Amino acid sequence: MCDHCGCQEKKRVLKLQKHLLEANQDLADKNRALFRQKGVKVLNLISAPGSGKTSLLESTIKALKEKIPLAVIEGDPETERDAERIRAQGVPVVQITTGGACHLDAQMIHRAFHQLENHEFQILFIENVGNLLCPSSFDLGEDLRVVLVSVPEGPDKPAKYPAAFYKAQIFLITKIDLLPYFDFDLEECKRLALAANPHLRVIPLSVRTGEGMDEWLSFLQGLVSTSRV
Amino acid sequence: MHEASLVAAMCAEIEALAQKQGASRVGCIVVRVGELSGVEKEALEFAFEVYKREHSLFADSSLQIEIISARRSCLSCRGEFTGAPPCPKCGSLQTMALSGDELELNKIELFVEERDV
Repeated sequence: MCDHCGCQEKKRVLKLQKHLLEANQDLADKNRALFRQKGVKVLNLISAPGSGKTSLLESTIKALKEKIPLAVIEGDPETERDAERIRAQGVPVVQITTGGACHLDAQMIHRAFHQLENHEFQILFIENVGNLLCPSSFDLGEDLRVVLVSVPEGPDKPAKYPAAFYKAQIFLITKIDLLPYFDFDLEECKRLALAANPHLRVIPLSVRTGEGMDEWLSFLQGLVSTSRV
Repeated sequence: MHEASLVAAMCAEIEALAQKQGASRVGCIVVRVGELSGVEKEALEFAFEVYKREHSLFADSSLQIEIISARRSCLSCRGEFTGAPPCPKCGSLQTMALSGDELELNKIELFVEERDV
């Protein structure tokens, strides 16, 4: 009986240990199984807006598309602009417009992946919504998480956004052709990133000058030539 | 502001549980959030207040958020500790997080009308 008014309402306490995003987690696991079954390596690219995710993909596709079949899922709050840039490179692409939402989730990826079903590809890039915070909470079923920070953003991003770095495997420092014009301490940035996650592989690069691109491209080629990273 | 999506996912989960138990109201909700989960306590509270206004099942509920510090292991001395680097034993900054990304629905209170008491 209720203590206050004598009504017949009873309090039940349920002790749970449920993941808040359990539904997303379950779908991410299904995605992972589906990707594995199709023999596709999936990379989830996470960064703030303007770090150069789309430019990196354009250069990567130009360099690799004759060697490895590729596909892209583009996430943006609005517009097809990024998908058009990728489509111009001649690889299959699906644009997800989140309608203002700040991240992609496993359900969106699942639907988009089905739209790519008629294509053959070995590496799928998912360009997440430009945002260094929210996407890190949502497992999409990817094999590898890639975080990007560009030189103009400053070297302390890994310290400010540890969640993005903590679960990533690859850290790309982009636009390093701009290093002479910014107070960006490359070593300090690497140090902060490795403090957040000592297993990160750090690759500084520039798509404009091509510096560092070889390391990134051979890393990608290594993904498909071996079954494990 | 992905905290709004988190609250919506959490409340959908609770609604299903409440329905199963025949509950008419939800009381206190306890969630545990790791310091590395990327979730902002204030934003989560705000998102819950907004959600409450539009969902009568939650009209009287409150959200209790426990922040969990990450457990880390030191790569220099191999010791384990809770909290932020440096390592309290040897001062090294080279540490590895062992936990801290928890996003857990830990406890809920449900109010159920008992007709056959």
